[in-house]
Amino acid sequence: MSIISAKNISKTFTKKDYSLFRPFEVKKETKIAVNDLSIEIERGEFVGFLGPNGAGKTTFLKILSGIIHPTTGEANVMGHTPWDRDYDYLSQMAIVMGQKNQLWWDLPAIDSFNLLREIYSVPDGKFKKTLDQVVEVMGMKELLTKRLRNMSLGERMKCELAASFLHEPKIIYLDEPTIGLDVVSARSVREFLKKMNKERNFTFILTSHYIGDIEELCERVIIIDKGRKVYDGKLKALIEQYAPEKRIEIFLTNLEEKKKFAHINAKKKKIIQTTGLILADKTELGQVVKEVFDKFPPENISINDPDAEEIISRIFKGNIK
Amino acid sequence: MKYLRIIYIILKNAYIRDSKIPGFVTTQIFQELFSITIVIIFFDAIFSNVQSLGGWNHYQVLFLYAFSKFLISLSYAFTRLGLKDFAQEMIKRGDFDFYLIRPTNPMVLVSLSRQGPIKITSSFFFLVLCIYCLINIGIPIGSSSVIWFLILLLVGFILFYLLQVITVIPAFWLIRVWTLPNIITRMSELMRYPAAIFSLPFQIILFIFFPILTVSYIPAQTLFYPPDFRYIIYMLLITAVFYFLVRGLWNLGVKNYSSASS
Repeated sequence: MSIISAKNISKTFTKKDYSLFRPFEVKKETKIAVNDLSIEIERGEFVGFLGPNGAGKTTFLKILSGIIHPTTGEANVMGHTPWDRDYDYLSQMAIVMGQKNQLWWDLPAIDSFNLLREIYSVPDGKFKKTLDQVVEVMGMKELLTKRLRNMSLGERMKCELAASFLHEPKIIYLDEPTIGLDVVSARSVREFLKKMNKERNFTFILTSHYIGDIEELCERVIIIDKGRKVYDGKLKALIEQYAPEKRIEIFLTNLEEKKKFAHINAKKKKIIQTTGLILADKTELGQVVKEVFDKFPPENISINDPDAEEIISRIFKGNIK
Repeated sequence: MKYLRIIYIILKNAYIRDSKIPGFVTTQIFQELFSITIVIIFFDAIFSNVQSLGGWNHYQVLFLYAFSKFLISLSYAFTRLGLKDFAQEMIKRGDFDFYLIRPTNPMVLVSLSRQGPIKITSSFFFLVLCIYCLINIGIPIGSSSVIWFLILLLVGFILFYLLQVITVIPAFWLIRVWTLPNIITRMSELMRYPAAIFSLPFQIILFIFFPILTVSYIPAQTLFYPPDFRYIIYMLLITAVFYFLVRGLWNLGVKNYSSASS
């Protein structure tokens, strides 16, 4: 049975403009943020939500976490309707927003954590055990006594994540958790999330602009555009479906090799400065690879999957149907 | 108990923060004592020219002033700053999101989110002034009056809190209205005067539609005169009405809340 089930969720925002001189004339501007979206998510899944800016990803997460009410549609998350906000549901979920602080700006991290312990009524022993674990995995012992206002963005995000796990939620919504982080911090955040998902079987929904987050963490992706779902399935299947070619790159050291490259029997090939690039689909892949390895030294050849970021950007631009 | 522990943690940290600013605590205390002195001089000046104000003598009026300021200081210490932040920043920035996802009452959590511990000291000064007035008031005060006064003090504090909340609820719809918290600040200045100094239409407004006079005047009157149960029942009823009104409007506001885009 699905842990999250949402059916035909839509959310429309209406902006009203009043004029002082024409008080009875109200200008209404309507924007559809989420449009008839339905999803089912199983316990322990790590699902990536992808979409361009304004696609409705964050709005949908806010609906699932009970922050905002949908205009239409229904949802059942662990047996609860999220926007009813019953305490039993709120105690079992967490949301982390990369662009907002949920911790108290003036307080040292440990005081914020203690405050959350009171709010979630976490027993002392359980709180200490979870905190110790999270602090160890994140390597953030020295941050506990530091005030949030004095932390770097990466340090703050570590604390935000730690705070979200203190009450051991079963579902965690992550909205751009690595935004603005340096490579090292982003990696440590990803490692932490991966560990929590594997060891504790927590369910995650992640939105991110960084395809690296999605590729590393999510087996399944849901792509939404203009509030509508355009894809729901495995990331690998998405790549195979929308870009079935392998990308073969050969370092061409001299004119002789460039001539040899020109004679390779492949449908899509081109030379960019000193690199010969071939996009080979399944039908010709075996023959092309054999020919390339016959003609060029192996240390000059690399074979890769196409870049997921590029595929997704092509989907959003409508270049692939 | 849960809310008391939350208050303790926030209050402790607010005090640590305030006390780190050089001279902050001292100047705040000095400023409060200074303003109390000015008001005492002001009332002295008035009562050297008149015998009573709205039928109340010098120390009764001074008591009403000190009592209303006691309630106001307590609200500043615990709830007012959080509600001010709610109206001016939380809704606009979308930080209210994090109050909605906690398994607690978001209205109470928002109210307790910022506290002013120095105002507890102020409320102590006003309490001392209240006691000073009672010693000098020259009216015998019965034990039943004291008991009813203490009960109504608690009810008055709740009603005052509800009035503070109701003035900031429009922030759900009027996202960028900075002046909302000033409404209660201005209105609460009326709490210090005996009701009889206001004309009948204003009394109706200030006892029924925005019952700010109910908060201070009815408890004080119950202390000075034999308890009038019509007033006591009225105060309990109006507090109940405002409780349901505030709860309904708050829930409507939450339903209307659209958060801020990231």
